[in-house]
Amino acid sequence: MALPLDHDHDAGRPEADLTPSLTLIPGRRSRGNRRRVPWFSGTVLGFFALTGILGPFVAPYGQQEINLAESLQPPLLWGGTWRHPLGTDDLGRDILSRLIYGNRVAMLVSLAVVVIAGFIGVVIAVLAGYRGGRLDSFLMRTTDAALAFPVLLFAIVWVATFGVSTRNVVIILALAFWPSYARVLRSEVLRIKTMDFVTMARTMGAGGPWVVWRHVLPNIVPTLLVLVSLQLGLAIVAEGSLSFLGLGVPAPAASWGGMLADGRKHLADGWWMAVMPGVALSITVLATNLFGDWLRVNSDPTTKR
Amino acid sequence: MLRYILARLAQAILVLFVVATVVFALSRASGNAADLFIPQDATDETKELVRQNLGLDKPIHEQYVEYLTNLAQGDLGESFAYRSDVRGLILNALPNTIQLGVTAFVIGSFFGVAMGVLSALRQGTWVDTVGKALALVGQSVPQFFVGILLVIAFAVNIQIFPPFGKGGIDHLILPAVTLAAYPLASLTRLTRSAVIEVLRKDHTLFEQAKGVSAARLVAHTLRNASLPIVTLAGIQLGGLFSGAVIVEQIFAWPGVGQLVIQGISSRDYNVVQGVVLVNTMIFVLVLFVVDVSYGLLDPRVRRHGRGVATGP
Repeated sequence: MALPLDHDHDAGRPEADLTPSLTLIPGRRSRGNRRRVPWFSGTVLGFFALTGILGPFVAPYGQQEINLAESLQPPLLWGGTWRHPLGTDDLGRDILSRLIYGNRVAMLVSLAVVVIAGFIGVVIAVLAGYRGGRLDSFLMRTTDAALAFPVLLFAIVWVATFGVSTRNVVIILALAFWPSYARVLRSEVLRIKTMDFVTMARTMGAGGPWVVWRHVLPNIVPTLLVLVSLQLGLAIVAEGSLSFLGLGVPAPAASWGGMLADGRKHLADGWWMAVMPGVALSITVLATNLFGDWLRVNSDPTTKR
Repeated sequence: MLRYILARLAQAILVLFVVATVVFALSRASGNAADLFIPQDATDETKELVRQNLGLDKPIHEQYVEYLTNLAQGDLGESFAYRSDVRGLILNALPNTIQLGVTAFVIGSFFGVAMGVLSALRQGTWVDTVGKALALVGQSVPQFFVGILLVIAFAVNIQIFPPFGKGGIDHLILPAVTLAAYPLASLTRLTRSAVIEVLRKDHTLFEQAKGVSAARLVAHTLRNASLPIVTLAGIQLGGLFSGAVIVEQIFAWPGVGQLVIQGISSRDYNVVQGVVLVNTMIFVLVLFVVDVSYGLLDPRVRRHGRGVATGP
């Protein structure tokens, strides 16, 4: 991942260290925190989802409302006023409002990416895993090649060719993210295919589409959900990185990455311009990662106590 | 072993060929390829001239053959913005990027493996907790924000490092640490679980029972846990060069990343295409080296000529 843009290669893999049986220096056993409700990540994600949906209704100002008389106002805790609780940027735009609009963009882009990439991934996984044979090896070769190729290089070529737009961000990231789904879900399909209830259904005369629809798809849903939650965080970072480089959501629309890039010019006299979107981005990603980890541990019945 | 190397080499060349083809196909699929290569403010005569020079009026398969022939000869075309050939531009910028990438790789893999081993050996203690927390935060905070925070902390508040540009070793530290942050975090996590897995094996128990010293045990454990670690480190190294694009942008580091981003904003398609192809070549080369080093690390791979699965 290489960098955050790239896939987390140990994503779908269960942590190997849940029940330590032998350690070099005997320490405390790690406490099982499986049943615990994910308060932190749940609250953070709920909060961001809510402000994202309500966007224009809760934002005190418009995202493009320029007010040069109030440029570079500091946040509340650093001598600012309630008019602009998180300060203003160099054009006097309210940072809180822009964060809320940026949140909306990040949410829409990452959801679209996850849905499209997930759909492609599921189709490829089922085709490869259920059909098997030459089709399987061809699809998996393609998946591996796509998985290994750096996302950013692909994004650069795409943007240089087709220009900057939010739609292009979704296309780039969807094309970059489907291989992870295909890889992980294919092995799930392979596992489910050999299970007794599937054999049973087949002996009773069920055809391929029926088996896939009634038996395979429902059983890959838990794994799919875990993947989605982990990929959501990656998609948010990727959108941020592209926008930061000027390859993502085009200005003047507010996006967290774009706001960070703008803030780069004012690190000495207006650090909040860069820090506020950075903090928002980091907290969201941390929350999705924690939530994904929780989901991963809890969705697997064999690790439950 | 030789057959294994040759097979991998063929695979690497195939990937390079496919990427070159995709880049070509995309540029031709965008509607009017001429617009990509020619600055928008050029006169109609210049446009026509460039079109003929590039051979854009020829049939597509002839263009493709010409394109591949040029690439094979190392000719990446002309840059319109710089009015010089792209190969020269890249060769000028590449050493800077390599310097940055290699420094970051050394920092990331050294501290990543060290923290992972320490975390695994002291499992369940505060060392482990700190290591795990750092790894989680390091993987969640985006690279460009890490860089900005470092600049605010060490170039604006405590002025010990220059905020941007290239110069002495002090200019290298902030960008290299920024670039190293993510690989460091993921290597810490992976090393930790890989070492713990080996520690649970019977041969480790046997060594412990035999009374082998802790240091030797660590050495043996690391060798056995090295395959996944080397895989990830290799993937990270390949990715570092594209990650450098972001870091170079933060610190105005004059590498290929800067070159390509400027190329996009000035619509200098040859530069973009050249950088992407060179970067792919480096990436493929690194993966090749990693694959070959498997063979050296694990005799099973050497004997059967089969790699260990790299994906999840």
